[in-house]
Amino acid sequence: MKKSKKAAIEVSFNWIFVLIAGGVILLFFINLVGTQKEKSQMNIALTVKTELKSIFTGATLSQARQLDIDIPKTTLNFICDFTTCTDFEESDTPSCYSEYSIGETGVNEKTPAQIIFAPSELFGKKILTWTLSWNVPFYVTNFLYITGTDVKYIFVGSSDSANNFYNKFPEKTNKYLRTPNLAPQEEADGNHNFKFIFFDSDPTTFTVSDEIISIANPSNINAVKIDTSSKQISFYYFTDDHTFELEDYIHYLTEAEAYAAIFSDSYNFYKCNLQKAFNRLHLISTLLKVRSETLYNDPQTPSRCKGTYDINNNGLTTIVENSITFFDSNILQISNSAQTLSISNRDTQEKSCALIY
Amino acid sequence: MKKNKKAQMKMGETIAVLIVFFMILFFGIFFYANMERKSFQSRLEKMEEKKSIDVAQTISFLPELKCTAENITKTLCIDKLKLDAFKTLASERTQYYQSVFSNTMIEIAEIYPTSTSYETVYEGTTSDQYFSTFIPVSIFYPSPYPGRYGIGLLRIKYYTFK
Repeated sequence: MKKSKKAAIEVSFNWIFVLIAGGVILLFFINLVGTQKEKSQMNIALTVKTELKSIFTGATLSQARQLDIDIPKTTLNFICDFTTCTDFEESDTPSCYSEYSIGETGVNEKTPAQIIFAPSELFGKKILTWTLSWNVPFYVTNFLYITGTDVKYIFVGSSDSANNFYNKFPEKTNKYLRTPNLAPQEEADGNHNFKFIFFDSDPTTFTVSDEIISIANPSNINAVKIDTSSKQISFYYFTDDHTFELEDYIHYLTEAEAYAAIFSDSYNFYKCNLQKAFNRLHLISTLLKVRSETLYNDPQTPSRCKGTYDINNNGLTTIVENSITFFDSNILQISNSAQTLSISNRDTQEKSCALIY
Repeated sequence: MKKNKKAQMKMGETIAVLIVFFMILFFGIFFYANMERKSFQSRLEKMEEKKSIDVAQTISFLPELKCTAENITKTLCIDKLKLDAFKTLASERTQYYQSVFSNTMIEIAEIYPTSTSYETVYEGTTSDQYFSTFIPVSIFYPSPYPGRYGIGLLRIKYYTFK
């Protein structure tokens, strides 16, 4: 009996020992796999971030170029908050809180000075980039526009402006041109973001189709109206009543800004990037102002040229003063001065003088 | 007694196997971790090199330096008057350009028709280790009209910190 009990205890102990040891080993490997999976996801996100940074840098430097880029299936989030923007009056390093992040990994790239117009969220395996130069009237910078394959752009109008904007819009995007009568019947076609671009009609009286409303969040449906005669852009948001309400409006200097409004998801995002653009404009105009002064004071400059280099008359001083903060009133001042500067520059050519820009 | 000793030996055997197994496992992990560390360092270096190329690209396309005719920008051409104005601007706006260029030194030298030594256009924070990029450029002197061109070399040093 004693020997039987001892054997029974021994066998049980053995099995308990095996279970514990096996359990520990199993837990160890499960933990290892979990850690490696997280590490691998982080690795992918970091690689995507590094590659995207180089791609965006390269894309920003080339003008009027369209690129489509294959990326691992992920979500890209773009943020730019105008309320955090500083200008050269407030800071020596004006910037805005802006970044793009990859999925839910927490991996992000800050873009305090880069000017990128994109929807707040892009999902998919492909992104499309487009650059346009911003000339005011001299070349300041390139605007980089980014979009994805799940964003639908519906141009509503039949005027020449509507046709022009539609034709210049990148070919590889999901773009459609519809008359005001047909646009309300527009379907989702598998997309999740919808941008309506109006030219002649009033967005507040427009009816979005039920299919789009059922598929998309209200924040992913928005509209802009571009008035090319008064050079004004109006931003609209989608309400719970399924109508568009006016958020705000602002003037624009060039078509590049109108396209920027189309690519931006909200007025705040648009203003934020335009403030960054204004910071660049302030720097370039200051530099050109110094250059113009140098030419004005140069003893080798012929007297026939001096008038065109006078910074108080050729528009440069006004542009410098009004390019500090992105305001509607400043835009109008810059618009007038830009025309003056353009005329002065042409004068220099006619008078056989060195160009102002 | 004999059976007791046999059971104890079996137990000892099992424990010995486990110890050896874990020793091999930890040795493998240690070796793998070492490899990962080296791979990470190499990746970091590649990232820095890539960043230096990005910065060099940005500088060579900088509107503050490029020659322009109306809105047409000329590739690989630097306007001398803009360059002189930029030196002043960059020294006044050091922090802004630091955020654009990171830790970079930009120098330019004319090599034809006259040969000059490198003059500093912009200097950020420096260190002992750097990547150098050389970019041949045209240097345009706008005054007196119609202006003249020279050939220069832009040297961009991107400093790394370890």
